[in-house]
Amino acid sequence: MGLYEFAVYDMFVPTVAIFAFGMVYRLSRYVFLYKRAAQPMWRKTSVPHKIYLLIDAFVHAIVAAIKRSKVTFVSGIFLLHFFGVIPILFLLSHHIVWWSYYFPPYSILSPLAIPTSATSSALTLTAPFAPVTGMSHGFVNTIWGPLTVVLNGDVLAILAIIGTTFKLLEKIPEKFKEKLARVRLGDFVALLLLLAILISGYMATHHLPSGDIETYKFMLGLHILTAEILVLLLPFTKFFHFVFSFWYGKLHEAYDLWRRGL
Amino acid sequence: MIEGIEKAIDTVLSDLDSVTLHFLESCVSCGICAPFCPYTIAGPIYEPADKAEEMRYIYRKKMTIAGKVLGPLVGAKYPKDEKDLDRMINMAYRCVNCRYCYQTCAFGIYSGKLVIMLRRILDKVGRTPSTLKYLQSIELSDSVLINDKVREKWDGILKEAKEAIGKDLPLDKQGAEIVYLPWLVEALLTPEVIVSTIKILDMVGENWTMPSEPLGFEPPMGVIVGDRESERKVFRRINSYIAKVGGKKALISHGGTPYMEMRFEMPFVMNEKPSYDVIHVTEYLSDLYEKGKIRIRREENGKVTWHDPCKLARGSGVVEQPRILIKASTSNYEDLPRGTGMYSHCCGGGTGIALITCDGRKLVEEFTGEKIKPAEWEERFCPPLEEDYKKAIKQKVDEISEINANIVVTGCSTCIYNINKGATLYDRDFQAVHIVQYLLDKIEVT
Repeated sequence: MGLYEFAVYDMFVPTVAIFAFGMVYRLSRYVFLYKRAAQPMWRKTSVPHKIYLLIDAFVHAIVAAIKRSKVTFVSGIFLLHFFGVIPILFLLSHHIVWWSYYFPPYSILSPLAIPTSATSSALTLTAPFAPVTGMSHGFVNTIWGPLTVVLNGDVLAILAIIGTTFKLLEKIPEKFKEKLARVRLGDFVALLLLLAILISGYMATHHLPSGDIETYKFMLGLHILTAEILVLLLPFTKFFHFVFSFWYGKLHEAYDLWRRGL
Repeated sequence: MIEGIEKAIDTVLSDLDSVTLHFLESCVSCGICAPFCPYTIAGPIYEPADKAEEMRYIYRKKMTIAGKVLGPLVGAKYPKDEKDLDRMINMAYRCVNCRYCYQTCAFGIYSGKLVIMLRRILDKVGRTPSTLKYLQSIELSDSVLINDKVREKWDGILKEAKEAIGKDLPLDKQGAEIVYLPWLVEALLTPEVIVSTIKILDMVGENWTMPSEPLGFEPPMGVIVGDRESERKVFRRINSYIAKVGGKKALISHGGTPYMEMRFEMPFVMNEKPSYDVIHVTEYLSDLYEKGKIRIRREENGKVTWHDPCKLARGSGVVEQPRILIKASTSNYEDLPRGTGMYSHCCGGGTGIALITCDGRKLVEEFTGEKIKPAEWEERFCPPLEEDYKKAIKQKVDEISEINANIVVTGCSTCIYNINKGATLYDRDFQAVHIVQYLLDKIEVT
């Protein structure tokens, strides 16, 4: 049995099971530690202001990063998240097909699918003539139009790889030279894993390092397996922010802002 | 292992709640909070997330399976020797709890709260700076006027106020609408604020009272040193006093720890809603102004700015009120350039920091006439803290200098002390004053 078969057929159920167990474990800690206490008198704020504060709670850290941590904003927020992992994970055409296979309603996002290839995306704009094709459309038929020159799997994956690599390299002097306590071993593990997923995905897409079927299957298997490792580690690592702690933290912060009437 | 450390950790972590769990578990080490902390300037190891990591080491060791099994490999460990304690205390006392890290964190993590947990552990193993322990003991005494010298100073303030209004002060009066609560720290740092507030209350004909002696030094000192029980004891004392005189509103002129703690934290700590409102004198005055009960005379005496005390603005939402009042008094007002309100930069000396520096200790000793004997470890701790404190307050004075302000109005005695100290240290030509001092001569009752 090859790596591909192992990742697709053997690891899928354990991955989902460990993920589910981890989520129940983590979330139950929040439930059991919940303590109800008397409330201070809330300041009066209007509903529109509350809506503003709710949005602001999600946005102001990004604004803070733009103002004072430009490197973090460009590498960590912009490249790694906004332009890298988030659109690739949720909107890359291959991934939409994958999500829809396990969760059919997800196919509703199909019109937003981002094409995989930079070459076909560029040709949409630059080719002097339309190809002879039996399809109803000449090139990549997507609502993103000319944006596909940038908004395609290749470019986004490269941006995400640059962002992740930068974050990884940035942490080496932070950990070993500046001796920052907040830089943890787990940060390196998480970033290396993410890098492995991105690089193996990019290589599988481009049939690298060679075009034979066995190498392709191995690389795709590696991509799926590393992604599964991320999913099963998710509840126990910093990746948890993606499914819970970011949302919980920001909603709690908005609630606190309402209470204090800021 | 350090004596008593396990018991201290057990106690502090026993009242963990889900929000604090989020603060402990959710940091991804992005470092966005770092440039906003007034103590990052002391070195990157004092960034908020790095300080909070000290508490996370302990939490992981105590409460996570990975931490128990893998220990330091996953950042889980207890402090084990003097060196660890020294590092912990350096972290715990390079945080002013200004909440800026919370406001700028991508995940809504309040690192300052974890630093206070560190202070709680340190307090239980006898590692609270002696000045703070001394001030806490004053607050827990039956009377905060601990000796003749302190009593004389307090009596002097009351005498000056009495002369200013030309009649006896309504001390401990039953049935007053407003209970003015001056604290001993104001008598130490800004006694004129107490007198000015009394004059304003009298001027507007308010039905008010105040305790014949302060109900605390800077209550609750328990929150500053990290002693939850003493926090509750002092809150109980304040609550029972207000219940005894039957006041409906507690008026506070010191917009530092006492205001935010009484206004927003006391209900959580005591698990009961207070029977009275807590208002800052800025809210009180802006309410009078907006209702047309007072007018403010315009006077142009140079450029005026408002420094948002972190606990009054970011911590309690008092942002617009002071600006309304100041703008009514002058056309030469300008906001501070690096951030206001929710995004204001801290003065660098709150939550006990200013008073535990060597200068701060001398100030307290002169005020009380008693000698504070620092512990042996404080000889290592105090001089570098003094240097870092000076760097922290320099950032504030530089910000003020950027707009060439002449008068820095604010609402917190600690901020006034720190800004004026910074102005003296760095030879700047401005002065910080409390808003009641600033407005006193400009207020006209309609």
